[in-house]
Amino acid sequence: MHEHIVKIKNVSKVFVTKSGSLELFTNVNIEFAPSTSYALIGESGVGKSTLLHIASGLEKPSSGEVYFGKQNFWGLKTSRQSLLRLNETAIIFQQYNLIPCLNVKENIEFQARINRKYNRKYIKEIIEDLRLTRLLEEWPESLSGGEQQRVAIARALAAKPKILFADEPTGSLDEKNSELVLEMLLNINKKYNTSLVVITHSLSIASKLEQCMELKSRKVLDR
Amino acid sequence: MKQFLLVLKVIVSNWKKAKGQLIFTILGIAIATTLWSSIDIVNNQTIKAQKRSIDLLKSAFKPIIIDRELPYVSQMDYLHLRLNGWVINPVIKAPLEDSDITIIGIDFLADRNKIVSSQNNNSFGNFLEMQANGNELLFGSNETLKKLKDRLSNFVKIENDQLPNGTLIGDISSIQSLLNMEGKFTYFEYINRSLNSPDTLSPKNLILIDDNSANEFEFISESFTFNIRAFGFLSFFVGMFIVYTSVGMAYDQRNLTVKILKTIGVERRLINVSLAGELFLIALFSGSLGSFGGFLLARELLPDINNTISTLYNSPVDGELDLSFTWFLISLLIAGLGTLLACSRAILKLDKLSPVNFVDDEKIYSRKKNTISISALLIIFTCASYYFSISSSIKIANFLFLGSTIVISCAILPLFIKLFCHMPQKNYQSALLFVFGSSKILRNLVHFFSPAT
Ligand SMILES: Nc1ncnc2c1ncn2[C@@H]1O[C@H](COP(=O)(O)OP(=O)(O)OP(=O)(O)O)[C@@H](O)[C@H]1O
Ligand SMILES: [Mg+2]
Repeated sequence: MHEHIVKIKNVSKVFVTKSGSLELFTNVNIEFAPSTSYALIGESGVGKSTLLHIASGLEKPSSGEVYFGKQNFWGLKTSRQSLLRLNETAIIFQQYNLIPCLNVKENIEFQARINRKYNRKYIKEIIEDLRLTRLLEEWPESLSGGEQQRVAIARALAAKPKILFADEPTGSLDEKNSELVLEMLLNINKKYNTSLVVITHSLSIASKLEQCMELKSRKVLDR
Repeated sequence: MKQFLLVLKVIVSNWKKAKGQLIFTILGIAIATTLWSSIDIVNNQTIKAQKRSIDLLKSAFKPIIIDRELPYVSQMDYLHLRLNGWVINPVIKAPLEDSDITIIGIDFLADRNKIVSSQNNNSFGNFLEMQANGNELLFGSNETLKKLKDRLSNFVKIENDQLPNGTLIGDISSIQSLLNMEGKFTYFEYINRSLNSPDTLSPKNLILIDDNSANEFEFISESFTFNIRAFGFLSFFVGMFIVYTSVGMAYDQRNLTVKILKTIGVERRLINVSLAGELFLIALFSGSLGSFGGFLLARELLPDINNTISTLYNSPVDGELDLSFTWFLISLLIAGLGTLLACSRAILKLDKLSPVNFVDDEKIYSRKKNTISISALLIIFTCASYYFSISSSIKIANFLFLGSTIVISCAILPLFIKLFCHMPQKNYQSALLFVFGSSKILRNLVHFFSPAT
């Protein structure tokens, strides 16, 4: 039986740029199991975000495979790939990636409406927990960095993914808000059996998650 | 379906941040359709007139001599022909404004049998006497003269019921000044020629049309319709270039939105269908606007154009516009296809956009350099074609000049659009006024390029 939601197998990534090729990591193997929480740490520029993009099916690895359940992701039709990403994953981006022409409320509800998991009561709770009620009619551009990050988190949570990827979700938040967000993430991790993959620079956050991995010298090591 | 509407809503709401570009896109499509469809109407009028004039020719008129390219022949042409031994009668012929009366000027001395042949009460001597007394004479049937009421009051009107209804005949010089055509005639009637005259027409621009050469007449008319078609096409091109620029800019702002939609897992096809759906709505709206504009413009220009065409083909055109539902649909279709074409590059760019990627700044820079060198070439080309169009008789130079001027204005246009779009909201209104003001200039342009009476 397959005990993973997403599995990456012998994955390598090389960026070819004008100034030469940049090898980020080679032969990385990770299995993300259901209802488990993972921390991914590593120095800046080492390739954490890229690894997360590969694991979530956003970016194609230079070599190796990505499995969503039993399905070899890059062997699927693009429409099927989109569907898998839409229904099973949600990503909290390092740059938030809010849709600029939608207001906060529409942004939060968007993915949930598209993947048909929209639940008004649930979303209302998330909005209240993240203290976004006051901002619902605002445009993303008029929000502070921390506020935008909370909207991005709300959007990802509202989509009820099987696996939630979070790229430094507390990077722009103060200590109090960071704790709140982490608590929420862990809460849905337990309550809805959502797998959780969090990139973080904070060892204290990493320590609260079940497994911790470090990306270093092109390898992923367990800590 | 619900997904489609959701994505469509996101795509459409992008315009909220790009109101200027939206206005330009709509205006661009509308203007393009207006120009195209109005010229199409004019063209149809021309074709109608052309058919009728050819029919007229086939119904055994005397052979006539006309100019290949101009709607008139000149005093100089007349002199040349006479010196070469051709016997011809100059004729001027035009519809009288706001009426269905055709007014014809002939040389009374040479061609008097047209009006005095079997007239008993008006002997030739009598008639010459009146002329000599400085009276301007105008002949017409009782009914035609009645229709005139008190118009053309400086003429002495003489009833002549042998003339067909709807026709007035006067002396050529007085009709010339009436129609502001001093020194010009519509055509020469060919009578015969002396035996030793050269059998080709000496000024090369002239052409003799008789039963054998009716085809040539058709050819000339076709070249005229081609000319205005080409003008219509060029103006459509300008409109679509406006659309191309403004959509290109608006879509640059969409990059982010489309990228995010893709990262979320919205299917590529769904995004493209939404983009197309949005364009469809825009094209439908602006296309309808444009067709209506085309109708108004054509109606506005119709009297002038009918005049021109009537003179050109010696055949009056009726003042009615032929409008049909099919015509409207075709205009819409053309607007839609044009929009699709103008936007295809922007859409393809969005389609290729990968969700995680960097922007290649270097590419943009090299594109800018290209634009500069292309613009320089164009300007040189325009100057050259302008020089040729005034200094020589190469007709195509005129056309090239018009073409390259239009292409250059296309190159400058993005600047204006950018300026406009970066203006604060409250200035939109005055800018819009400016845009509508320039539509007047466009009208004058159309005037300019339709051959003068
Ligand atoms: N599309 C790309 N083309 C070329 N190079 C890229 C591309 N994407 C990322 N890189 C490079 O790969 C390296 C790793 O980037 P990545 O964003 O994965 O790092 P990171 O570990 O997330 O860093 P940080 O902690 O600062 O967010 C960087 O040097 C970056 O410049
Ligand atoms: Mg990163």
